[in-house]
Amino acid sequence: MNYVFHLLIYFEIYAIVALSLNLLIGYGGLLQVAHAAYYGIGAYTAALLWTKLGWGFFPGLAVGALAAGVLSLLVSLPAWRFKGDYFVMISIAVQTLIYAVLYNWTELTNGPFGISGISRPGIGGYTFVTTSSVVVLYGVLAVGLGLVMAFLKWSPFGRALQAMRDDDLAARSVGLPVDLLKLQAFALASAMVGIAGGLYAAYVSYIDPTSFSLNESILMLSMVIIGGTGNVRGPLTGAAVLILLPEALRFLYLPDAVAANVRLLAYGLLLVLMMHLRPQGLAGTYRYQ
Amino acid sequence: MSNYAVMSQTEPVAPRGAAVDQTEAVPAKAHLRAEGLAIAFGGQHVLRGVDLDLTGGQIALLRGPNGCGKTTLLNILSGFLKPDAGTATLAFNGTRVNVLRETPNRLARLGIARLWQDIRLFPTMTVLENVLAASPHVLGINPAVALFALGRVKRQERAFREQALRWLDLLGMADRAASSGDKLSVGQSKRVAIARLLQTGAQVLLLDEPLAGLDRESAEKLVHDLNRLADTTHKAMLIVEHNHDAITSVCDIRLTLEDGRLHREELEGKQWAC
Amino acid sequence: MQILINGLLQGVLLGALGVAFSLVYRTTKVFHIALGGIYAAAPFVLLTAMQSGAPLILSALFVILAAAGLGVLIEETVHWPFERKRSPAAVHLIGSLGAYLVLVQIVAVVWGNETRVLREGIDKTWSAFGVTLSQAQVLGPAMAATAVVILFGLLARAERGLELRALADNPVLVALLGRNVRALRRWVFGLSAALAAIAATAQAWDVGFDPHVGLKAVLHGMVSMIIGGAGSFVGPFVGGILLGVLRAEVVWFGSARWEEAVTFTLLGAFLFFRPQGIFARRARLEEGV
Repeated sequence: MNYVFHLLIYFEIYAIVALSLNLLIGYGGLLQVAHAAYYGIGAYTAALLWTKLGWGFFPGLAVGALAAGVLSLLVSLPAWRFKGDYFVMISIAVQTLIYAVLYNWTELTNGPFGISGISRPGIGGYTFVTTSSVVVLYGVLAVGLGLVMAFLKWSPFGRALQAMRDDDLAARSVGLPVDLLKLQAFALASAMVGIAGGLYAAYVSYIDPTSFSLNESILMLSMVIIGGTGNVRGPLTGAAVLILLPEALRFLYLPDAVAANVRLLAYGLLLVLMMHLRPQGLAGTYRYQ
Repeated sequence: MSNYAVMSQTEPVAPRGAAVDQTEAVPAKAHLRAEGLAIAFGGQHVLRGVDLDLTGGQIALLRGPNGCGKTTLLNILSGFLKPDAGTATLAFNGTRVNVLRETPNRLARLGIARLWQDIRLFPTMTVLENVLAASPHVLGINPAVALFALGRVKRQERAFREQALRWLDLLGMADRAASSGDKLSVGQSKRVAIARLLQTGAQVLLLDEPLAGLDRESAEKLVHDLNRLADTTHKAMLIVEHNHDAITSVCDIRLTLEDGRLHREELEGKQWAC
Repeated sequence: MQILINGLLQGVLLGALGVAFSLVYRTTKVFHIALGGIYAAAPFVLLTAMQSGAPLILSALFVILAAAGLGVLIEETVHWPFERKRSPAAVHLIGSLGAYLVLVQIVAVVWGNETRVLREGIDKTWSAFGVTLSQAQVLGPAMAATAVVILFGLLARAERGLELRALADNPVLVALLGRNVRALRRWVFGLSAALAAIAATAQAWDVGFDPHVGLKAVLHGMVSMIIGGAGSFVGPFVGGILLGVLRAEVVWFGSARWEEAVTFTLLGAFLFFRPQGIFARRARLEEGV
């Protein structure tokens, strides 16, 4: 039973990741490849505040989100000028830079050895020690953030993002502040994935830079593309596939050494197949027009 | 945020939170004036000193051979291209705007908006959403306001929706409001694009081939409606159109662009006013 | 002096990658991430061929042909179907990413994730004017440079080259002139893959290899292209050499830890301050977007 709870917690964390990435890709048409870096900024900021300064759970989480949101300027300012392939390249560059900082600024981040001894989340005097209690806490947060995303999609903000995604020039010509919209979308999405990073750190109690590498970003991107973007159901499907695929592959009785490779192989195949058969993903609506 | 602040200064007509209703309120006349506009692409001089003077209520036909720079002039006046030389100012309600220093989206809010030759509807949005997206001074475009001032945003959206439906009705597209933006004929798309343009509330409209793709009857109706809008709401219009016959009758000015220069003729009054 | 020479030799390999990447990008507008998969696979194929007892020259030829075949296969299964459906650039990009994942993970499953070497024992070295160079360090770049020169010769002289350049500038016109766009595209993908394979084996011969070196290699190819400008075929080669020299200096005077960070900062700087190579001369709005 504990194992099911464990999977549920991962699903909740990845649901937040997927929904935040969907705000950029699905609503805004911005193919972000630095998402794991912002996940990492949220995780590291929160973990450092908790372990070094003894901050409480929610303040640490909030400042982690804030840090990720502010640092999103690293991608959103270039997004004013670069679109498509060149923007993808910029975001890969930002991912590499942030990763280098996490890995090499050893005085602060402890480099490759990471940060250990992160305590479980707590509110007031209550600590979420049991796995089931963490499921509930993270579930409430994930549902809350999911509702915000669903709401934003139907708000004038979502409509403006969609217009920008459909036709950048036409959106400008009818008076939509496209540059400001990009800033806001990146800040919101990065803050949200920063929260997910903090939740991850608090659950696994140990983080190191490998969880926030370019490969992780590609995995996040694949998850959202396979599930589909443009609505709320698509990214959730993507998160579910990400959690369930390793479980399904278990039945192949693969040796441990290649299990991770086969999983990524399946992802690659799914990406190509999706682009052939269903560019909008399993449950999404956006077809990369 | 400064964006919003400046916008609201230059929008005296609309009360806070209400949509601009151009069919009823009659704003002062806008005045667009450009001098010495010049631009070259890779050494090829397209515009070499273009002067332009357009006042609210006037309709100007801009004509010239293919590739002579008509669309380029529109791109400059709508902020999408920066010329090599020249000035352009928009005077409206006591404020003066340096057109060449503004971004396209700010210009649309300040009063100059354009229609694209290739239409450019938002393909994944419905006809109504296409028009709504152009609404001016939307409160809920700020995600924080959208989340926390729900009531005000909703009221404003309702007003925008009514206004958008009125524009669509004027252009005969109200019954297609729920259709997807990419499921329309060229003529229908054009009319939706014009509704979208009107929804911006801009006082100076730059129209790149508004009649192309429209059948004769719709073209005549559109010309008639544009003329009425110019008269009743004092909108200024600069129209690039190859179908001269259909439109000359309502034009006050005829501009001919040739060899990078603009020749201006005042036309002898309108031949059929409404 | 030693550092400069090291950097130059390294730069030749980066330049070859830049040429391989930009050959595809300039002519087909495909952002060829899957090239990283071919790059990763090439040394493993060479290793297996050599272990089977084939002489080095024959093995190397086999690798180059196999890589070219792989490049054509990617075009046939991924990009050509997308092109026929007029899929947007994002679909090509995601498909390429999927193909990259598939290739790399197949390599990892077949050959394992460990780092391997191609040569045994200590390499022969030469010393002159205070500069010491190993055989592997010189031969690899020499091969890659020869391949690039042959390719340039092909592009400049043969009619195929002229057509390729026309394909880059105006694909529709090439089709209207009755040239076989599909065959040209196959050539482009094949030649690009062969060149990448040469660079990959040269690099692997010098420093060893594992299945995950491909993505970084492709990124370096992209950066070379940006530095040199995407407007010509020679530019990326020069860009790669500059990048190689700079990276060698960074490792020497700074720290190897920041090598990647410097590379990508350079990318950002070039994109911002010297984008002439990327964005062609100012054009009318409709052409430029």
